[in-house]
Amino acid sequence: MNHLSEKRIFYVMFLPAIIVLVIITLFPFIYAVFVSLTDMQISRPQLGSPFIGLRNYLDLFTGYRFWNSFKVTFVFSFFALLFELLIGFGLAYLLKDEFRGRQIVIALLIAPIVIPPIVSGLTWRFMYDANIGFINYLIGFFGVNAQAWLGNPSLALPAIIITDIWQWTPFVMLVILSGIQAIPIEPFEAARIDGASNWQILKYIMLPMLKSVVLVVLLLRTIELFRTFDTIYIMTEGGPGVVTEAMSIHSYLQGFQFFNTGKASAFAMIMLVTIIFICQLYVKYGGGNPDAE
Amino acid sequence: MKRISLLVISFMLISCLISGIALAEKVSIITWETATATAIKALIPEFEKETGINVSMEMLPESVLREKVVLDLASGTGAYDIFLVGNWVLAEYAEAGFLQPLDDLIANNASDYSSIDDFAATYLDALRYKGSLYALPYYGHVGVLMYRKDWFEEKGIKVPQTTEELLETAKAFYDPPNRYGVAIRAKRGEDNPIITTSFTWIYGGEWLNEENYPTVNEPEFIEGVKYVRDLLKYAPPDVSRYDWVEVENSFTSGKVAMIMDASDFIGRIENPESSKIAGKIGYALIPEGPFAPREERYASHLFTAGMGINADSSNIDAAWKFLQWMSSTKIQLRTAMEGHNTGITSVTVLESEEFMNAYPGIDVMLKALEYSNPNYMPHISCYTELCDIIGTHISGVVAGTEEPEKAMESANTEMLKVLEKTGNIKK
Repeated sequence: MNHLSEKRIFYVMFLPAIIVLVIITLFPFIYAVFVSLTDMQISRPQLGSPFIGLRNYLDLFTGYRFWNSFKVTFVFSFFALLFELLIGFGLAYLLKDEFRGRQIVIALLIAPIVIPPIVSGLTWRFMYDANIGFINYLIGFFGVNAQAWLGNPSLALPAIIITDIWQWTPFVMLVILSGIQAIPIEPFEAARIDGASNWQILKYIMLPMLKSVVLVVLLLRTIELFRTFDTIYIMTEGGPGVVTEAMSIHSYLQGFQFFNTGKASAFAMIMLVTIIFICQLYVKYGGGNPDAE
Repeated sequence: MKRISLLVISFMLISCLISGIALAEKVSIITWETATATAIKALIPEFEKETGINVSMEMLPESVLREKVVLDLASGTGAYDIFLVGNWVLAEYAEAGFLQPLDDLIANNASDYSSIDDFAATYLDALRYKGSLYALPYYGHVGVLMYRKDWFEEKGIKVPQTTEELLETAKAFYDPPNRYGVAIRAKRGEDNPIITTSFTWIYGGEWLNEENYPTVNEPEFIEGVKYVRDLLKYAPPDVSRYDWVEVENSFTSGKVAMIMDASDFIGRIENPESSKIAGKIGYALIPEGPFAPREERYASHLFTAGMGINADSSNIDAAWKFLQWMSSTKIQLRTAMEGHNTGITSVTVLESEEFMNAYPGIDVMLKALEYSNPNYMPHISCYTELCDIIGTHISGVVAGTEEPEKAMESANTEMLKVLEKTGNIKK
């Protein structure tokens, strides 16, 4: 068999996968871009779907609820990420060395990840209940008054952030832990011989070598936090008022409650561009090639 | 060889014919997952035996049903012949041409099952749009005041008749953290306007004027919003996230003296298996507002779920037959008794001795139904979004994150935009 027909076979076998990919991702994406430029409202087909150019985008950018959802998403993502990274790293650091019962501890810590976010959100919602909730019961022991967690505009978002931290810190811990374990042992041994302290080892050897792992976790978590819907929706549906109405919630309302399909598509495009931008920032300032150091 | 192929072909043709006939008489219906639906599903085999029509019933939770139905309707697949449509979104579906008008079918194609004259007039009116009827009422409720008889007796307090008295009474019972005076829905979004704008209505406020321009920034409406805020000062602290579930729970768990919500609560809150306070509940009409007496303006809190026929359905006759059966007096009577279902729409059942003896408060419910007005909120294709705007701002006022005047001014502006965008007013 000569080289040319081998190549042909290669392309022919590749083709079905490419076709499926184009149909499932590329085509809907292009269609969504197109829809975002129209005033499609699927529950009001009598209006037609007139082409309106960038009007949807303009409406969104001049609406206070859009910017509010932007803010909510950023605040939520930032604080959740911050604590998940810090606590996750801390746990990974504590668990990096072998000790009695280590496997059990790790297994227990991983448990929150496997729970569906809806279930976790619903359970936490009951725990946060002002009258019969477990949280108020607990803080009562410390003499703190019962709070209306999810009904208080100042406490609702922190409450949801805590739920997210509980669920996803183990994931961060897991990834960083495997990153730590993948680091070769030689640099550590060399540093010990040179008399480096634990802190110096952490700062000058471990952290730099974990850079790419942390970057991966950062990217994954950021994308997921940006898209978080289940947990927020089931706990507060965006309330009270609009204090927890994240971008995912608002675009859902636009697309599937009000059926403003054009607007919702525009919203999705904006979210996509934002997320790509953030990820590019990460890679540019946080990444780089560890081998080059 | 030729004979065999001839046989094969004729066999195929005949089987196509037969299966074609079998396919023609099949009806698919999608509805909420409720006790009523489950009760009806159990009775479907009877219908299938009597008529030879095959029925498949799908049930979904309330929150996801509308999404699924609209997506199916918008794509015109006709997957569901019959679907549940809430009366407030009926206008949206009717304008879009999703629903089959029923007046012709009622006049010319009524079957033995028909109970068209038995439906409560208010519910039927609620399911009309621009003069045509688009669905048969399958479930309905109106607003009633439900209160702790025992607490009222203990304190020697009388049932409030006006909104002023309601406020005083709620204050009298307010004793945090053990007892609260009142609870109503105040959750952001579409959930609360059904009751909160019942209050603004009895204060003289309207959502829209005759030309469909929003009027929620007018003084009467704002007075009503302020009243709701003041009233809910005597409610549990997290009331701004209360949906009907939380309202009911706050009552049955013994925390709240009064609630105002749907009459279909009665079946559940009087059920000793699910309610701690069964037997201790009193029922009354919701107090009247300053704008007009109750007979003219009642805090209606009205909702009816209709069953409509898909305009794209290929089995309209069969679907119509089933629709009449499932909403007939006979079936309603059976589900009323078996399913703790007080969301009945048949007048015969509502006024029957059995029903009245099975549940307390029915006389109040009937009076409320009489006073209810199916037009206290507009029947309009963008209802959902308008409802969300109003509901979110009112929820903000109750939660203290917004001031009433500014909130309703913002609401008005946002509503105007939506009305223009959906073609309900000319720009």
